[in-house]
Parts: sequence; C-alpha cells; structure tokens
Amino acid sequence: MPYGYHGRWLHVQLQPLQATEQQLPEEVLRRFLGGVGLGTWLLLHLEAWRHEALTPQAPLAFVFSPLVGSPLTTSAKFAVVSRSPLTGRINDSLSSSRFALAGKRTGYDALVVTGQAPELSVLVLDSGGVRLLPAGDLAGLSCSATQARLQQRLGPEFAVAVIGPAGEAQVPFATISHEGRHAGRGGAGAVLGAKRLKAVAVHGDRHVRWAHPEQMAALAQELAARSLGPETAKYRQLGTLANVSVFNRLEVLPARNFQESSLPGAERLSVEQLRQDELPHERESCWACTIGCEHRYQPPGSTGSVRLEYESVYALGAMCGVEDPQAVLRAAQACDEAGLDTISTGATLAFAMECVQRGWLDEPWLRFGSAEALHRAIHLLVTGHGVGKLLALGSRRMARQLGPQALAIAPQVKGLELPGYDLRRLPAAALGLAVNSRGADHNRSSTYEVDFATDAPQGDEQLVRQAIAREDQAAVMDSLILCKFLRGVFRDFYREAARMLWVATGWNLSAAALRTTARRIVTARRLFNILCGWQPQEDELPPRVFQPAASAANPSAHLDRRRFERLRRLYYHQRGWTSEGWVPLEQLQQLGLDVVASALQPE
Amino acid sequence: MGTTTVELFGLARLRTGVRRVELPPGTLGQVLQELQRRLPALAGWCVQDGRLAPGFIVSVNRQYFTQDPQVELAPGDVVLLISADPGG
Ligand code: SF4
Repeated sequence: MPYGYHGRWLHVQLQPLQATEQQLPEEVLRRFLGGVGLGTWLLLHLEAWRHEALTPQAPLAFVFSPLVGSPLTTSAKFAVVSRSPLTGRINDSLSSSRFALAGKRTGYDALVVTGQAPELSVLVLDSGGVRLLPAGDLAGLSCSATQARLQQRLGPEFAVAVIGPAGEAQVPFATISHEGRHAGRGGAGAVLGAKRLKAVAVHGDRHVRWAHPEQMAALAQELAARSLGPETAKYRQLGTLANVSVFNRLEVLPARNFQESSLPGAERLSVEQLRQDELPHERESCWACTIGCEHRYQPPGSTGSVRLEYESVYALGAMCGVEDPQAVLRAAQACDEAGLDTISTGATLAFAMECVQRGWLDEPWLRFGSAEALHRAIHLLVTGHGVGKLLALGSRRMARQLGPQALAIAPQVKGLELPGYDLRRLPAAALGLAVNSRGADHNRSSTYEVDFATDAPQGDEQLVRQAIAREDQAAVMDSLILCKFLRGVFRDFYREAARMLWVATGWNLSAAALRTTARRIVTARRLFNILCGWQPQEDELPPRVFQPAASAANPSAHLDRRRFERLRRLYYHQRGWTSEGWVPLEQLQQLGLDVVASALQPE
Repeated sequence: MGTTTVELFGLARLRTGVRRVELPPGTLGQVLQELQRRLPALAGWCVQDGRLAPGFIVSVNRQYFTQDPQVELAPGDVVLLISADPGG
C-alpha cells in the first residue's frame, strides 16, 4: 500500500446491492493524485460518458485525496465527480470536513456508486461493509433535518452527506450537503437523488501511513502559521462577502441578469453595511482549517444562522435586483435547506425575471427587485408547482423552451449558470469560463485572478499564458485537495505542492512533473467532455457580455468579440490543441491518456 | 488644485468609519503617507510609510491594479483601496 493512500476504491452497485473492491495502481495515483484528478480518471475508466447523468448506470464518485487526514491546513476535503445533469459534461464539486476524514477512514481512496436503490434509502459504509437502510421517513426533509435525524439514528461517529427535497426531485442544480456545506455546482444532488439515495453515511478506522510524519508535522505547523498572514486576511476577517462593495464599485458585479454591472443598492448587501447594522454573526471553519472564512449571519426572528457567501449575494441579490439583506439571507437559507446551488438558482430566477420583463413569460409577479417573488419562486422551484417546473430546468433548458431569443440572454456556459464576475471587463475570466470543462465555473478555472493582478499581462499571448497557469494550478489544488483561499500563501506553488506530496507519499516529484500532472488533469477533463459529445460551439459566452451594460459609466467597457475569439484561439494553441479545441491523439499519448484514446477511434 | 480621491472598503472602512478621503495628488506613496497621517487607524496593517501592506492593492480609476508607490496620481484620479485577493 502506498503511503498517503489506501491504494483501492470501492464500487457499490445498488441493485442488487454489491460492493467490489478495486485496486488503484500507484501509477494512476501518481498521475491523477486524488480529488478532481482521480475522479476524472475513474469516470474515464468506468466509461461514464456512455450514460446520461440521471440514469441508474451513471457513476457518482466520492473521491478523497492523499492529504486527507493529514494535519495540513484546509486538507479535509472531498470531491464529488460525475456527469452533470445540468451540462451533460463533467462535473466535479468539492466539499469539506468530517465526511472527507470518515470517508477515507473506510479504507478507500474513492467510493463509486452506480445503479438505483429499490426505494429511497441511505447507503451506509462502515467496517461491516455496505448496506441500504430504508429512508422513506426522510422523504421531503430538508438537508439539516435529514442530517440531524441520521446522526441520531446512526450515531455521531458517522459522517453523512445528504440531499434535500431538490435532490429528491432531481433538480439539475441540486447539491449534496454535509454539515451545512455543499458540493454545490452542477447537480451532484440530483445524481444521488436519481439513485434513490437520500444520503451516504460513512464510518471507519483505517488510517493511512505518512511517508515522513515528522516532516509532515513541521510542514503543517509552518503552513498553518503562513495561513494566518495578510494573504488570507480578507477571508478571516470579512469572508467572501467583502467582494460585494468592491465589485459593485469596479462595475464587475453582474446585476439584473447581466443587464447591469452594478446595482445602485448593492451597498445594503455589503459586509460593511451588515457589520455596521450589527447583524448578529459568527465565524466558522471547515474541519482542519486554520483560516475560517465562513461568516454566518442570523436573520432577525430566526434561531439558526446562514452562511453568507459573495456568490449567494450576487445570485440571489444583485442578479434578482433584490437589495434587502434579510430577504437574501432568507433566500440563501431556503436554498441551503432544499439543497440548491445558490448560483444556479439565483441566475435562473434572474433570467426568468428578464423573460417576464420582456413579455416572453407570463408570470407578472416574478419581477426584479421583489423579495416576495424571490422566495415564492424558490418555493415553486423546489415543489415543482406552477412555473416551478420550468424554473427547475435551469436557464439553458428553460430558454430552449422559450425560444432562441431567450437563449441569447440565458446567463450560462455549457448550461452552468455564470458566477459573480461581470465578464465585460474581465477578459481572462471570460476566457476561463468559456473553455472550462465544467462550464461557467470560477473555481476550476481561477483565471479571474489574472484580471485582478497588479502585474497586468503584456498582450494577449501573455494573458493566455497566465490564464493557463491559474487553471493548471487550480487543477492540482483541486486534486490534492487544498482550499483555494490558501493559494495566496504559496510562493512557488509546484515546489511546495511537491513537498506536501513527499511528506505524505514519499514520492520525489519535481515541480515540472507536477505541472505536467496539472496539464494531464485539465486535458483528461476535456477528453471526458469530448467523449460525452462536446462540440466547439460549447466554448462560447452569452452574447450579452459583448455589449455594454445598460447603465455603465463607461459604455466602451465590454468584451470585444474578436478579441475573445483571438484569446480562445491562443488558448487552444498554447494548450497544444487544434484550432477548434480538439485534443490531438499524440498529446493524449504523451500525457498517458491513451488508455482511453482507443475509445476515440471509430468502431 | 484638484485632489485625488481615495475610497476605502472592508476593514479599512469599518475601522476608520470613513468611506472616502480627498488628498493632494502625488505619487501613490505620497498619497498613502498622507492617508496614514489623516487616518492613523490604518497604520501598520493596511498602509505603512507610504506603502501598501501585503494583502492590499489599489485600483486606479478602475483601469488597472497596482501596489507600486511610484505610480503618479493626477488630480481627479480615483483610487480604490481593496484586498488583493478577489476570490469569492
Ligand atoms: S478557507 Fe473557508 S472554505 Fe477554505 S477550508 Fe477554510 S473555512 Fe473552508
């Protein structure tokens, strides 16, 4: 067994219930690490592209990493990897905490579920093996209520990942929730729901060995100290919500379905205002994290508190034109309880509001700026009543039903709704979201960092090089898995990542070898999409970002279409792909992806 | 003579209670020095001796980001003092 890993994964088929242990060759672990990388390898290995996301045969993988269980800060994370019901392409969401630790202690580096349970069930994995518990009594329960019931039923030593009503209804942007955190984007919750699993519960006591435990402890201490430096101060002191007032002033806060790049009342939603109003709040962190970026706010009259992130405020607030922080808090709470991705929910509702505004959708109550409409729409979306059925499709599929004019204003790439970065002024972010395998996702891409950098790129060639560097670094961080908010503390990321892998696994990897690993993971994710049926026109942005925002102070502030096309061409070129974005067979061979290259050959 | 406007965000705003300061133009370093003199609550953790503390950058006229104290600021320029990490 290699250090840091168990060297095997567990394949659980649900009907008839059967668990098969599979070996993970060290070569695979070296090449794909864990998390997003290993998850992609598993999907390729299982030929997951052959199955639509919500069919029983589609694999859903919970993937751990070599650093899980180590004292390295922010390392208690897991990835949920599958085909996305929203995009039809790869989806890899990350979440944190005890499920990662307990999941790895089951003795496997990944747990892959296929099939469909005969009835709504909880899948339990512990030292006694796997079993299904009937979960009819949990049907319709919120994420937190499900979690509480299961902890009571199974005991506190179990860690459980659950879905809410949205996952049960297979809303394609439903999340998998664990202790209030969510594997949020792309609809992993719907995939679990399609398997008739209300939850997965894990418990184990199999620990991995570390190659260099003393150096591991020293490195963990050093990293913990650095994690408390100025690079993470924003997250510790204010959380991601600090972006609201800044992005609004920079005119990169998308509002009213990207019709605007700022919102006049956005200051009301800012962390500065919430603090000034002395709204009760507390700070929390994921397990094994020294940063603690989670700032929870308590809505008046409520006993519980709500984690409020920038992205939720962008989507449920600015995008829907809602400026009342209490209303946004309640909407975020409703999404958390139902198990809905707040970004896709808010962006889809904003899209629907604009369709109403334009007379394409006859739901006059669904207006921008109406808190009541926001809450009612979320309720309908979860229950599937009335227009909720349409809203629950997500913006792209909804637009297809409303007509081509609606598709032009749907805020999505590859079907995944856009995050809170107005791409008109952010060319690197625009490129990153267009070419990203997962769709409009800033986490796997991270290219927005280039737009905010003080060493602005000299020309487009350099911009693309820097964008690729961020995307590559994100691929390794998401595979190790470490929190992105730690990235600022690294001075020489690949060298430091190689050291972390050395203390955990004993591997002597060079920084250059790890950079190749990053390229392999990015390319493998694209390869998976190609096998799913990806076409070049999918690496595209909504037309709206090529036009100025309605009331922009500077009307020339929009992305030039020809420049975007040039950036995309340069990106493909620098990646070594064809001018349309296909991956040449030789590159697959060079990266050791030829195990699946045969699948590309005509039969 | 016109002034350079510095706008504060996040903790800088919360700790000083100030959103905006009008300062004499000059290099970014000179402007920051004057800012620190007027708002001593920023000293050390945010600005120090005409420099931005690590973790902070400025946006100049919403055109570009910099930390360089030598950058010349003209009358009418608007400087946003913000966190260096835009992650959300
Ligand atoms: S920085 Fe925030 S998101 Fe990252 S591990 Fe810590 S608490 Fe979790």
